[in-house]
Amino acid sequence: MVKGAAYIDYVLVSKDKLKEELAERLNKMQEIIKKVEEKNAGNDKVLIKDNTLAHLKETFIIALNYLAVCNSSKVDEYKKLIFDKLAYIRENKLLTLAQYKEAYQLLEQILAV
Amino acid sequence: MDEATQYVYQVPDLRAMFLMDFGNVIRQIVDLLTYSDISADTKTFDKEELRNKLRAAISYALALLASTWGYSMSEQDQEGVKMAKAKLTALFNRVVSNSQLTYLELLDIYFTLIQQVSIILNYKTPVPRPRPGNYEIT
Repeated sequence: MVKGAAYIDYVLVSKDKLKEELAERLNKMQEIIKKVEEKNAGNDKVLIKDNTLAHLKETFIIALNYLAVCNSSKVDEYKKLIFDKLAYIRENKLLTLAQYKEAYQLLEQILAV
Repeated sequence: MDEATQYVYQVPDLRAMFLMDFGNVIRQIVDLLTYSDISADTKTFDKEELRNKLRAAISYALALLASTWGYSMSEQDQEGVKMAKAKLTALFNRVVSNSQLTYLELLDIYFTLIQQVSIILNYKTPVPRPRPGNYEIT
């Protein structure tokens, strides 16, 4: 059943809300990094996979949605970097902690757009 | 009142209806783009399924665009909508005419689609969440 304008408000996300969501996800990623580092004595070669990787992929998709509403000259550059990372994940199905940290840094830069 | 007129009166908001259809299919697309090749899920990536869903999403986006016709808009917004129509049509042709698209090409189509729809909807996008909060990160 269509609820008209109320539904439109419900289903749509503005740039600010996407930014908020991205920031929350970055906090979660920071927690993960801390937890993995503690567990593995700072070993950057430890592998990230399964649900943590799924969370990262979902975060990349949200970052793409965020970039889609950004009117910035940086959009194409960041889009390409996300694509490269997604292509790598798709092929290898895992990341090292060091690569996960790089992904975090990229998302942090995107958040600043 | 004839049947067709009655139907038109029964539809409260065409824009909302197309947006709902678009939002539903976009969620499925995000799901395919995000989870389909993660080992925790057994489902493998189905390119044809993604291609079909993208085709549907572009059709809904074009319908959404048509339903905004006549809304009061600035000249700049009108130009943006015209451009969006051209880009969406080009995307549709790209999806329909090329069955050999790679994952990244399909992702590129998704991105351009969201970008254009955000212009039609004044810089907002549909909720990009496939499965809100129902999996645990270990």
